[in-house]
Amino acid sequence: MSARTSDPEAYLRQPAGVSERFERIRQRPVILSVRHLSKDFGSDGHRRPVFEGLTLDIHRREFICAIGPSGCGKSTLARIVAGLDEASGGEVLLDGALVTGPGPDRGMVFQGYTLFPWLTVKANVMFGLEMGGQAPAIAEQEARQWLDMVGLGKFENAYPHELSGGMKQRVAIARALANGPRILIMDEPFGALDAQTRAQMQGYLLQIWRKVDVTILFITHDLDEAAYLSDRILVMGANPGRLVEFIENPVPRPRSAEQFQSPEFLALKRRLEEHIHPPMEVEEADLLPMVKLTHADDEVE
Amino acid sequence: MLGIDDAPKVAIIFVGTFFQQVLVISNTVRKVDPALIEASQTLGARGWKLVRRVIIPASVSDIYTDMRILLGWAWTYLIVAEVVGTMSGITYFINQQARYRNFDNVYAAIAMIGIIGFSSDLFLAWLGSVLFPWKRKSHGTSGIARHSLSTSASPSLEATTQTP
Repeated sequence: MSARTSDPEAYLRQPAGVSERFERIRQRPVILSVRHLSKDFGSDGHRRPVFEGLTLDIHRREFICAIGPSGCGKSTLARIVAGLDEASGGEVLLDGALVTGPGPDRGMVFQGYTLFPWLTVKANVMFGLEMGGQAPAIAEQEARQWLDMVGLGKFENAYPHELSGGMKQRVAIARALANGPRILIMDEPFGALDAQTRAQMQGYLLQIWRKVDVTILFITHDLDEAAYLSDRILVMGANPGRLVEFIENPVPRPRSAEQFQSPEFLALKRRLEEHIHPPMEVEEADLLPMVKLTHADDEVE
Repeated sequence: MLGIDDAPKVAIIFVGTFFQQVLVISNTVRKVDPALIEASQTLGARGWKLVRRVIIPASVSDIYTDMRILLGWAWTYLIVAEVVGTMSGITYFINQQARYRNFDNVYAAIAMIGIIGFSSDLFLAWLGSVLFPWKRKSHGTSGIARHSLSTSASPSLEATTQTP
């Protein structure tokens, strides 16, 4: 490892093109604005805060990844922005308008695909368009275009159960984007996929995002995924959930798998790891109280 | 009150299955995957459209399976109805023949009930796979649970053959 990456501040140093890009992003209008958002669960006696005092702005066409340890409320944040959960305090503004419930201006992609099993792939993509009052013929045409875009044009008449996990999730992305949402919220969308499919899907998602005018809020617990995809990374902490740092990703675009070894990527990853896995006295405390159950004469370690 | 023809049988079967149906269907509808409802809400579905386009299609195939189970119950009530009150029908025939000690006729009739019940269930299973093609390859835990429920319809039919 070079001297540059061992510097704890290394992730803050952005290559020239990157800092200019962030300058341009900051000029863009704010799409999503979260103000002093807090959420707690439980009845009045035992209020347990999920997170509190969350304030952030997301600009148009930004790709935001939210990471954090389990229990930090990153999924809850996604659900509140989508309007599926209610906040306990604070507010969420989309294009300056208060978010009060679920709506077609905020698309959502879930980890569990949630395609309608009784509809064909094409009818799934048409669903939102029809809900918006689009004529069936036009909805069908648009659905075809979206399916071609995610590379599933040939499967338009298949049912979801006939597709692989990665294909299902591409349909779910097409279905969400067909509605023309201002922001696409993705809650650990690739969490159920195997490593190879996941890498492939990340590539697809970047390609799609490059072509479509959409802002993305992407929840993940995979640090590589966050570093690979994002413009900025929202690092959350747990107990209580809070915003720890909003990191500008120093890795230049366009992204590729080769960058996984670049100094910017490694510096960023180190910083993320410090946040998510703080150095602790793990080694000693986590030893299992096991008696020796083997007599074979090979000491493996 | 309803005479001695088919009306009292129909009434007993109706009373026997209708209230069960109400409970079973309400339970099935309640079990619709909330994630599907949430997904449809983020796509703009609300109110009656949500019911018509999501909740009904999501539960209709399971309601169909409920109906298959209830058909087994309907058979049971038919036997009861014929034993109690009427002067026609297959159970009446069994009782009558038993009194004459024509046991080969009795067993033929018993077998008849079993065959009709079993084949009607097979037919409905096939019809279900035509009506709900997305259920044909059921996967996940809910599919397995459903399957075990639908096979439990046959033992209840079998049981009816022993009623007389």
